[in-house]
Amino acid sequence: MNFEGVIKKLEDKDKQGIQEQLAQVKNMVKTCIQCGTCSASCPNIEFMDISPRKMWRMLLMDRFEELFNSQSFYYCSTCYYCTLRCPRGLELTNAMSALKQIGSRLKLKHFRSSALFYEAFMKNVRQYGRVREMEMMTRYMLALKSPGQSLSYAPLGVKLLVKGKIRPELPSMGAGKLAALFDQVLDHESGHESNQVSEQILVQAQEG
Amino acid sequence: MKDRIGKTMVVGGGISGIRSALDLAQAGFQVILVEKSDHLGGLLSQLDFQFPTSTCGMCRMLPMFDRDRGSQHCLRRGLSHENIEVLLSCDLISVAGEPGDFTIALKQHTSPINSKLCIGCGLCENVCPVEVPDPFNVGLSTRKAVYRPCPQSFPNEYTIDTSVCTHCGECEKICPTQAITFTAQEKEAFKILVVDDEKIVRESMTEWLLEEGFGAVAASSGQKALELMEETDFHMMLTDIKMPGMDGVELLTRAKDLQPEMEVIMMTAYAAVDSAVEAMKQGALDYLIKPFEPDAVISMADKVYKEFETATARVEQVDALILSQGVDFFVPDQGKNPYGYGKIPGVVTSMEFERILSRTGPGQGVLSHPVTHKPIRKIAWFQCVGSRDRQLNAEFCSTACCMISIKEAMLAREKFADVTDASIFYMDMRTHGKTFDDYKDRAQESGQVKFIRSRIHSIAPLLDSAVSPSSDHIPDYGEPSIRVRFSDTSGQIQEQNFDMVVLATGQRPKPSMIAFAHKNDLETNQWGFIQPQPFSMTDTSRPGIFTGGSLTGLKDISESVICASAASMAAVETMQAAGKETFDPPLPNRGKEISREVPRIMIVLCQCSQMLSKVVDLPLLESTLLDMPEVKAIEITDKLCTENGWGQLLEKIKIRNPNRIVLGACRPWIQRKQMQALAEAAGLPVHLISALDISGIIAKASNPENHDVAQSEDPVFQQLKQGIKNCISKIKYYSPVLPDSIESFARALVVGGGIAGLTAALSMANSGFEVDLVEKESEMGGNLLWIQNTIEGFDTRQILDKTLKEVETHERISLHTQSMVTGSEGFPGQWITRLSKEDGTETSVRHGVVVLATGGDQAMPSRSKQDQSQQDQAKQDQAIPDPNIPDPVISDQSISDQIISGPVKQDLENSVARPGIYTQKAFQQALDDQMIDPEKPGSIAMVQCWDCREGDRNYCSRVCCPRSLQQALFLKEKNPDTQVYILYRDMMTPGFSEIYFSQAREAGVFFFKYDKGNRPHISSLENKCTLTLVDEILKRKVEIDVDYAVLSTGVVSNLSKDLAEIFKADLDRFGFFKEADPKWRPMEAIQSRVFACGLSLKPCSIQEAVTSARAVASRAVGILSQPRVEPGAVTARVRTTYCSLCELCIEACPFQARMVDTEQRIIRIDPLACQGCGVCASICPSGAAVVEGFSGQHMLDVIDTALSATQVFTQKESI
Repeated sequence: MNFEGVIKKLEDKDKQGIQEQLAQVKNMVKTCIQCGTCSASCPNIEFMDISPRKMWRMLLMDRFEELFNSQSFYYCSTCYYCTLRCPRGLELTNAMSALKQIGSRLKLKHFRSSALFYEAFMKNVRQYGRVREMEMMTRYMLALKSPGQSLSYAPLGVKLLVKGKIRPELPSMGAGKLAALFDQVLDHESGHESNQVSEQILVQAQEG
Repeated sequence: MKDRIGKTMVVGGGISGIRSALDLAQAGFQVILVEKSDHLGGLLSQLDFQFPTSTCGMCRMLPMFDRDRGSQHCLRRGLSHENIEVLLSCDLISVAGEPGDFTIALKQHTSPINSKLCIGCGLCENVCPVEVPDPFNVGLSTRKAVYRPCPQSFPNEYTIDTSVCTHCGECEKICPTQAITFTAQEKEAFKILVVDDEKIVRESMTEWLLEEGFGAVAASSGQKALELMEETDFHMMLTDIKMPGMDGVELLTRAKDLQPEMEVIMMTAYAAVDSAVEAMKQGALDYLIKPFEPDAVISMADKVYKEFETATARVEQVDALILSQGVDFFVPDQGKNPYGYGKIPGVVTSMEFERILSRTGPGQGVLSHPVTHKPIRKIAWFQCVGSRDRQLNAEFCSTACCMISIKEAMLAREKFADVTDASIFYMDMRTHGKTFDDYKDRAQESGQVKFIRSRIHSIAPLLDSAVSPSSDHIPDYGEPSIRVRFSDTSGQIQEQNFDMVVLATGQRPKPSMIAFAHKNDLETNQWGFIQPQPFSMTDTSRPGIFTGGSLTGLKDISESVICASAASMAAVETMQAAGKETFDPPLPNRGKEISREVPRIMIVLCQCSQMLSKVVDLPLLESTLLDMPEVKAIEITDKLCTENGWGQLLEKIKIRNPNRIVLGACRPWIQRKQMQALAEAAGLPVHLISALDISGIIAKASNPENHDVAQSEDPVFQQLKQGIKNCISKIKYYSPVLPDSIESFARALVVGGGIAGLTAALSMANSGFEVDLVEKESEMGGNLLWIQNTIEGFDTRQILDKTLKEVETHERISLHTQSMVTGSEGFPGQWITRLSKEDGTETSVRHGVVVLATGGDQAMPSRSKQDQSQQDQAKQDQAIPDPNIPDPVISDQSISDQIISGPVKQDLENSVARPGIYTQKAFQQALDDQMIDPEKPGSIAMVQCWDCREGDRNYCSRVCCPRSLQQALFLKEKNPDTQVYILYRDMMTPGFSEIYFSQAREAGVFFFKYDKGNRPHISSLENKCTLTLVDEILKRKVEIDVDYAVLSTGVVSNLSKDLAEIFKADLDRFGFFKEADPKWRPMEAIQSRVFACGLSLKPCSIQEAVTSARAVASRAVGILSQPRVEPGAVTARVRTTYCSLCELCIEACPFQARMVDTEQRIIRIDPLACQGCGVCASICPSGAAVVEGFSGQHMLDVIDTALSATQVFTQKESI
């Protein structure tokens, strides 16, 4: 992947947004001292092609090409161990989320399935307020447009069905009460200050 | 007369407090040394081994001259000096007043044990039923409620921890000398007032307290309580906060006005804890949260009662106050990440590890697992636990832990064969002292210690058993029980198993100190440590109050004692300014001249309440001993510890008129103080009194089973007889010729007019002594002439101008500018030194001490090897490259010629400095001269440790890292678009300067770490420098193009070998002044009249240079204040007629006390430098070197007498 090339291809609005977001993430890890606490804390590090310790270093050194060629940050399961343990008090989990967002906005090929999965998940939640596994997976598979991959999940799906872990439900319009909240978040996220937004969501969710 | 003598209080009896007290005492002032705990030595009394020698060495702080005025024994045992009053178990409460007139409130805790009677037999300890964790072993072992404060305590004095003692009285019954008396006040007399508007609460509480025996009274409102207070004195009040009418807080303030001594406890509901805390600021002692159990109230009352019972208020008037209470350590289980401390056995703090290593520790020096007791094989050290942690609000470095951990790791490897793996996990290794890098390299290169750069996030026990010690599944031998998971620098996740994990816990201010500072208007920094004034490490925000040691942040031993000396200098200056005087130089008790008399020995035996006669046949003993021709009399006295007994003894001495005395008594009575008193009464030198400790016999006599008055074969009888005989032989042939006192010029010479030299000269002059200050340049100020400000933002001009002005106008300072020291005649203490001016004129000055403050400068970048090869062969021989050090410059072309190291000549056309490679100093000068426009965006790379911390300059220069950060922050502030890179090996920002490291990162400075072997390669081409290095984390080659490359070349000393040799001082392998002992005597040469401070001593900041200068002045004033110095009674002498001038003794003398007088062709001895060790006497082939009081005949007799007792000793063992 040629990062510069990808950026160039984007629309001006996106381009600027991504650059701003990158600057923000960089700022979040600016005082990192590369001690490696985050890497050793990470439960998913064995799946990552570059460790968080390296990831922050690349970010600070503007090695975006390498950074976005890797999928490491998509493996972050948001357990918050790194944030808890970082001696510098850096919000590393938030930084991971921010990278995920940038990754999806870049519309890169190797993030496609991850981005689609997130999309399917969020749409599902937006509609029902919870995840309907069956429907979510179906929509995800459809979005993937890869019949082979979809079929490979079929035996597992049948097994789960038999055991009653998932159940077929007809798609409905759902209550849709969360739509306003989601829209607001989307609005904010296209702007700045993702941290504050998450707090606002929390407040709104509690009030709602 | 007495109040004219200057008096200083030193609070805190750790090494720093001891140093301050000794300095002041030697300068002739009165000192009160206050210590909170029950023994002196502080933290260091718990640490047995110090690097680099793996020994203790605390005794090296003892005075080197005028030794006979204090005791010369291990400082862990205690400190005794004529001018020092030691108060143990004493709390500092408050300070009021101003310099020269402070009123200090103390609280003295008294022990139920009378130290004058306790003979240290230990019977009480055996019977005491109370067992509590031993704080001396940081809770790793237990002790009784009656205990010895520390293993070395002397004279084995016991003490009682009243906070845990149950007053059972067992010890009182068994004590053979009736030293223990519980004068417990009746609990009834302890009046408690309970104030609560709720009837049920106050009545039930009163009932509980009455049941416990306290005198409790209840009041229903604040008004009623005050009325009661008018009538009766109460010791304690328990009051509710929320009451109608007058609330508890108001009652508190009004009650404190009426009865200030009364302790007040607030009672409050949980929701109102805040107001209780507020009340504590108003003077309440503590608070109870409602609802509470009776136990809570009673234990609170007990606590206050015990305090009341044992503590007495004490007020002292002093002129200055030195605080040196030290710091606390972070407790890991209080943090977010406790690393299993307290849960997983084998996880210990570094302090606990020190105790485990110690032979007086819980395992008596056997390194074993605290639970399984299996040998320990693999140990890991985790650095920065509780330091450099933003999450804990601890963004500071604790300065000393890196070296502590290396030392512990080395000790573990050296002393315990079982230990096969010692690994240190670190972020930066802060080896910022002169010898620290050498020590670390030795640890690393010998393979003894592994250094792993990674912070550990957590650990896990390997077996379930490790969590619950009681479980049956104890790991077998060698099965490590702790798993450590970490990410190495390449990003690989590693797992290693260890038996033990040592947490290098960081510093924390003592909570009591924060409270004290708050109440007494002492400024603290954001973390609660006392904040020193600019350019000082000892001055607090209140004049007349100073800090020594670690109070302003953890320090290693040498820095701690330097600060302590500097603090005592400040106190001396304060006392001088207040017009106080010193004691007159004392005339020693030289005693009668008896060298021509036949020995007339008088034996004095204290019976200790007739007990001795119960086990020993005294008449038989008397007759046996009187057979000896030199024994003239035996006096069996009783109860020397009473005034009557003591008076009788003096009477008898007067009648018998002996010229030597043997004193047999229990331990408290054979101490130095008593011996001194006896010697004075008898008119004899103290060395003619020999003492025998008979405590053991008395302890035996206290047991009725042993009452069996013995015949001559009885072992007790023999033991006593032999002991007395040994004492007799010790003094029989001893007829000392006391050396004469020696003149010492009360004038000082300071070489070097930088800030260190200026400060040292000024301090000595302010203390009343004449000083000659020599500077080779025409302008004084040294490095402060080019350094304009510090990273903290302090203006150096201010301190330089102020000091210069004071020095120039001082009546006692003679300035000699453009002068050099060219030679010196005379002897130490009586130097006559030649100063030559540039124009050839010469003057000579007389002085008794010399301070070498010749300063230092930036190191010139060394030439690369390629350059060297072009040099002639002779030069290369001088600099044989170390094969272990890789090629320092990887360059294809040499860059050394391109480095700009001096001030940039103004370019007439552009008046800008051209891009290129600069040294740090040259770059700073270019910035200061505005040759570089900081507002113009550009790019700068700073390379730390250029040519230093390796090879011949294997030391950290301390100043370059802060300077680089300062430059980087300045550039970033002027223009945030300027790119700044800092390439470093270990960022040396110890202590509170750590925060600038973070600030630089926040400002966008980019940091690269490199290793010693992979130094960045620099090439410079046409207005562009390119730096190439390998990034440590990414393992990729990085190229940085910058306008300016700035090299931190470090600091070198300007002290020349010739100058040092004139005063018999030495240089270390880096060219700095060589200290007598890097830890305990860090500023003086072996010859203790020669000092160094500032950059000629070691790399240091301005603040540290000023502090070392004041410290040197303090030590020097101790010498200068005695124009005639008494040598110690035990001093070497030369019998010149036997001497063949072979000079073996000169090399052998460890104190440089001997020299050849070439004119008279004799060996001369400096009796002040001589410590009477006797090495000369043993190496001398012709018996010409002798030590006074240790003649051959005398020693042989002592040996013969002692050997004649072998039979007795075998018998004794069989008892």
